[in-house]
Order: sequence, then structure tokens, then C-alpha cells
Amino acid sequence: MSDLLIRIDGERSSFKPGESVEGVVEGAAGLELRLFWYTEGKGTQDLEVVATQHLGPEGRFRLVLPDSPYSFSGKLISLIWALEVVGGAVCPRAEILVSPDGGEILLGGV
Amino acid sequence: MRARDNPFRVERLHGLRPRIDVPLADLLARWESMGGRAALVGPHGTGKTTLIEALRVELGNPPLLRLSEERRRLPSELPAGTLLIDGAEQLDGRDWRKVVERPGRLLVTAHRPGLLPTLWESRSSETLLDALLEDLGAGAWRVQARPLLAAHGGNLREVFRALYDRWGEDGAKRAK
Repeated sequence: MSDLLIRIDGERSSFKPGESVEGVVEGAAGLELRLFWYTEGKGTQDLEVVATQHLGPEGRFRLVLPDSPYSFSGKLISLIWALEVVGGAVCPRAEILVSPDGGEILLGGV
Repeated sequence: MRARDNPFRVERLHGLRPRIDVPLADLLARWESMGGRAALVGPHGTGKTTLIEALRVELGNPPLLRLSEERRRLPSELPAGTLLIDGAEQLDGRDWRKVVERPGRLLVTAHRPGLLPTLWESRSSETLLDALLEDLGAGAWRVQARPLLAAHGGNLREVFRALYDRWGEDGAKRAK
């Protein structure tokens, strides 16, 4: 369990809305993988779990990204997408970028 | 200049541990010797919430009611056993009586003494501010932070909010 690692196919870290995020979590049979976004910044944190998948013996996963929100950062708030394994002693997390061009959107005013 | 890179973002502040000069277990033992009913007392932004949340973990996560100016009423049913209340001074007299008449251990935070015997009195200081800045990896901000402590009446929460903005402004200047 201490060696849990989320491996995304093709070593991808950026995606477009609506794409599938596929990969494997080795050693995580029976645990759950969550796809979620959360905010960080000056105000209270927001978080939404978008999809979950129970991991089978081989640990493969496939989760479909929604159309929004996009990954973005401004001065007051950043929105971050991530995958996280839950239910075990450790909860590895892998951040990904989600936007039409696959990059984080930088906001000047917020 | 991204919010996620700001050392003073809220998520980092929530990770700060209480800076008290006794082990949490000793503080809880003192609370037990007081009959399991006491208050953490201190002005705004001096660490009461941080401390009650840390004590809650030590106690095995009993219910914690978080009260504020916007949320001042008790739930219709109070939980049995140990109860923690952050912001107990928000309760009116009738609700406060319900709380104290309820059997079970009770630990609250309040801005002023008087609700219950004082278990711990929190206060801010430049020493505390320096220690918290080190915990945040932001010791270099000490010179800017100290005047803010006086300007905000010792409210560390407001100091960190001001430092959040200054970090962003510094980044904007560097980017130009």
C-alpha cells in the first residue's frame, strides 16, 4: 500500500474537457479513485468530486472529464483538477490540467 | 502570482499547528481536572480555532459546532457526550443554557472570559507571528509582517490576509 502510484497512460498531465483520463494505480485493488477539482486561494476552499471508480484487481481506471470547469489561476483563486486514491492508509494524488488547449488559464484580475 | 503558489493562502493557514507551550495531552488533562468543562479565551485571530481543532483530533473527533455572526443557532438536537463549540459567545442566553444544562464534557472558544472557567488564554505576539511565518516557509516576510500585527490589533488572521495581498502585488511588480 505504501507504494501506491497513479500512472496516467502516455504520461499525460493535460487534457481537454470531455476527454477520458485513463491509467492504472498499482497495488490499489479494492480502493477507490476519485476525479475532483478544488480551489485554493484567499477564500474558503471549494471542492467537487466529479467521478469515482472502484479499482479492480489490475487497478485500471477510465474516467471522463466534464465540459467544465477549466484549470485556472488568478491572484485570488486557483482551480485545480486531480485524481486521488481513497480508502487506503495513504492517499496518493496526481494533478492534471483541464482546458481547451490543455494548459492552465491564467487570469489577470482575479 | 498564482493563488496556488501564495504562501499565505487559506489552505496553508489551515495546516498551521497551534503554538502553545504545553503538550496538547497536558492541556486536555488540565481540562479533565476542571470537570471537562472549560473555555479557550482570546481576541479575534489569536489561534483559538486552530487550538480547538487540534484538541478535537486528540479527543477522537467529537462533534464540533462552528458558530459565527451568520450562524448563531444551535441544531435542534445536541449530540450526546463530548461537545466542542467554536464561537460560543454567539449563542443567546436560552441556547447557552441548553448547552450548559446538557450532561457531558464541553469545550468552547470565546473572545472574553466568563462563559466557563478559562482553560487557555490565547494572545498574539511578534514571537508567535515569527514562528508562524517560519512554519509557512515565509520567514523573509517578517519585516513586512510585524507592522501589520500592530495595524490589525493583534489579529493574526487579518495579518495573513494582508500578506496574501502583498505577495500578489509583489508578484505583479516583478512581472512588469
